[in-house]
Amino acid sequence: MEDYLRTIHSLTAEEGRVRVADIARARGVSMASVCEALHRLDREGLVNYTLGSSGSITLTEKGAGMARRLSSTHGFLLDFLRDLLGVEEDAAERDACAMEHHLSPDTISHLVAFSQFADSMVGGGETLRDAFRRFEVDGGEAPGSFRGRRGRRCATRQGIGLSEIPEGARARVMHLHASCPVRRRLADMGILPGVEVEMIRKAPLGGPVIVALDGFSLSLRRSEAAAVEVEPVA
Amino acid sequence: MNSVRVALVGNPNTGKSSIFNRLTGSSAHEGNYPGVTVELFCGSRTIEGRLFRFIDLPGQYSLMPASADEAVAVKGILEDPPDLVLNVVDATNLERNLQFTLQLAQLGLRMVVALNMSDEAEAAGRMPNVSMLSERLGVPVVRTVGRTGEGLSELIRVIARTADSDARPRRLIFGVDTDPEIESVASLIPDGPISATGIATMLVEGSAEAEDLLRRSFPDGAGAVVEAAGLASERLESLYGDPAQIVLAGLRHGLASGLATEVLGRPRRRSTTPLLTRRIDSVLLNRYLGVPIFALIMYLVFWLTFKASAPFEHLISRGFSSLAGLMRSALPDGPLQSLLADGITGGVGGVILYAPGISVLFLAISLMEDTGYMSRAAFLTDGLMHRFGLHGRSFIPMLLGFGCTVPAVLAARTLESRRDRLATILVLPLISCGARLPVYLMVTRAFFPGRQAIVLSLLYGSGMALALLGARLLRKTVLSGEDSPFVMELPPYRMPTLKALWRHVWARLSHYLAKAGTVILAFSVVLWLLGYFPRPREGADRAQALEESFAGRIGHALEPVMEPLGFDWRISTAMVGAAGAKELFISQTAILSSLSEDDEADLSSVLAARYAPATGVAVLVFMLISPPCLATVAMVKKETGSWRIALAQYAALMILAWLLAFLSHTLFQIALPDRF
Repeated sequence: MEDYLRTIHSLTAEEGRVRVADIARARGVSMASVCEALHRLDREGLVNYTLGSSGSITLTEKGAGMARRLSSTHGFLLDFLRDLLGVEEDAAERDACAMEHHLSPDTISHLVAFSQFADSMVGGGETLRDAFRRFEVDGGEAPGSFRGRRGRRCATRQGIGLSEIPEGARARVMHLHASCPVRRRLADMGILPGVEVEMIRKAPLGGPVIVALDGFSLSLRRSEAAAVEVEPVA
Repeated sequence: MNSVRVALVGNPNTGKSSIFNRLTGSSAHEGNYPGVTVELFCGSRTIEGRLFRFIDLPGQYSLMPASADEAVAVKGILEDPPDLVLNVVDATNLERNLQFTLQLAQLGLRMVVALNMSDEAEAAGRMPNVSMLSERLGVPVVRTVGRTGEGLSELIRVIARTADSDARPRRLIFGVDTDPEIESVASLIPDGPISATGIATMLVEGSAEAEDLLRRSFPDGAGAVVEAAGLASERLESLYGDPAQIVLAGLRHGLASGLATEVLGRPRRRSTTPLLTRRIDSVLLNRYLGVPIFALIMYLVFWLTFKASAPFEHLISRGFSSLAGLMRSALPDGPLQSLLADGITGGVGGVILYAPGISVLFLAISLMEDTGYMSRAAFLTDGLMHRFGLHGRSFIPMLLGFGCTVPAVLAARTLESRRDRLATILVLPLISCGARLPVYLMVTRAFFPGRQAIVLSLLYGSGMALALLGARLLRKTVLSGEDSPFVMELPPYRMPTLKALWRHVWARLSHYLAKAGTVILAFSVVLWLLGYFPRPREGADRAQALEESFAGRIGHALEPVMEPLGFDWRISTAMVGAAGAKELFISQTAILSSLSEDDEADLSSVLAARYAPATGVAVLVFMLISPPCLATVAMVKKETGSWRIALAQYAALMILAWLLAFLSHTLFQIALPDRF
């Protein structure tokens, strides 16, 4: 949740206006996850967000305060992991996220002190930081990348978009990546993980597609179909 | 004894409305549900000496609305729970319909299921075991055929019996992980008309409506409940790896198809789209034929609306003008005579004049809706319309706008989302309506003889382009937001019933006559006042009378504003008159030029002699963009429910008209200085 606050905070500073799609892009998650997070943050009084309006996401005073505090912690942890420990960028980013949620303020303040200490001379004209890097290169093992707490969200798509299924072919639904209202509608209509659908027809020029489910046909836009991750079925 | 309120709910295309018609008969009327602005049908019936009031809620797939308009129906159920929910289910598509039934059952309201279209289900060999379904759901299930009325007397008996019973739908078991989570949330919610489990389930799914309800009915503890629901939904999400709403929808889906398999008996045959529907679709939605066929159908609708209704319109206008003549001869000269003959008769005539066209149009639209072609039409046009931020269904109103803006605004009702509807309605006046054509013809004859066709094409083309660009602009600015989902069911083709068609046409027609009519009438009287008063001095002819009237004075007063467009006070006065209806421009100009109204050829030459071509262009552009008529304003007000929107649209179009007319006037002066 805190990740979202920080993302909104930095997007507000950079672009002035924040929409669901911006957050989804910045965080590399689906718009649906963003919607949910925003609803939750809204409920907690951290952001101003109403269903359907993607035009006006702002942090409340409380949310902005929290984001500022998080931003600095996050920035520090990222530097610490990447520059001091030598964790590769992606993993550092992910783990910094995970750490800031779980580490107590006390631990963080000690880590801050430690990183300052690492930059002081420890003898032989080199800093602890340099000494550690030399130690790693010479014989230490490269740190393995940790899986984030929410590994699922970081997972990449394995299937293909429903829109890529040719006419007449069948496919099984794996995930719904669509935005909130669309995903809701899809789920209510029975497009759910595990369900088999058949591509009936595609309108020319990138128009909508028609798929058949058990007992009825649905028409959906190409973009909506693309957000349904499926695996082809023979 | 209090009356019993029954809400009809169910998926779209289940024949809910035909059941409603059978239940309420002639008592059906459009009404309002508390706090709801969408028009809903209400009706009543006395059963065993007791009054049952029925309300037909909009079709929906779930209690989790995907659009603002569906939210209205959900709010209706939650905020003012009916005494009984009548869930109309399409028996031919049990799997999907039951998902919603299961959701409704959890609300814990008294419930009856009408298993509709059971004749079709029987024919397909897919008729469920009614008593088993009733037993599993814990609610009475009645087999019905809305089209023929079969099973309706039984349904009425069951409704009457259930209204007094304490029986509630059976508590359903969804899943070992979800149920305890939901129950732990439900335990925090006090009892009310809607069951705690029902509210808890909706909260876990993230329902804003359930949250609203809770915050109102239980202000003290709502925060804690919502928090608990949020945590529960997070736990479910981490457990299943999918958002809670998908998890719960999935469980309902599983339960519904399990139940369907059970009540359908024998190994379930995979149900498919009916063969006939597939055959028809393979032609109507054909890659190459689909669009031409649609164009042909549209042409037919267009032709019927504006041509087939012409003789009736002619008859009506003749009738009203002879009525006006009668009044003139029967009443003494004076304001009263003129008010009745010119103002009111003209106004009422203007309202009724559109009635045949509107009836034909809505017959055509209802036919397209009831047969199932409407959603196919949206399928065919969405590719184009979506590029401009519109919905496939916006296409039909836009096309009709070439005929008349008033029915076109009405036709925008087929759009489900308010944002799409607003965007469509707001740009519709830019599509050049039929009433502007006579003006175009007169003006082009005056200034562009021999080149009329190309000028006309340019005008119509720019109107369409402006409308599409305007829609795009609106969707990027004031109407911005995520597109409403296009996801929609393509129902099997069905034969429409005359009764349903009649109901649709009559509802819309009476609406038009009653609501838009009163406003149009009021505007007509105001315009009459402006043109009639103050009375001219003795011996003044019609041109002088009009010049000295309020309308003429307004025209004079507007001259400095309109001068940059090349308009003098005459054109401005005629424009004031044409605010009522564009075609009035001709008669007003004729009066001001002291010509008889029939002398159109003369009028053109008078115009050509008096004004520069640049002024002619400005008149054309101003005509094209300024709002078509006051009836449109009345209609927009009625359809959007807001004077602010209607007036803002009017003002915006006026300003745009002035700006573009000024621009074209200036450009033309530069391009053709020798003729100025």
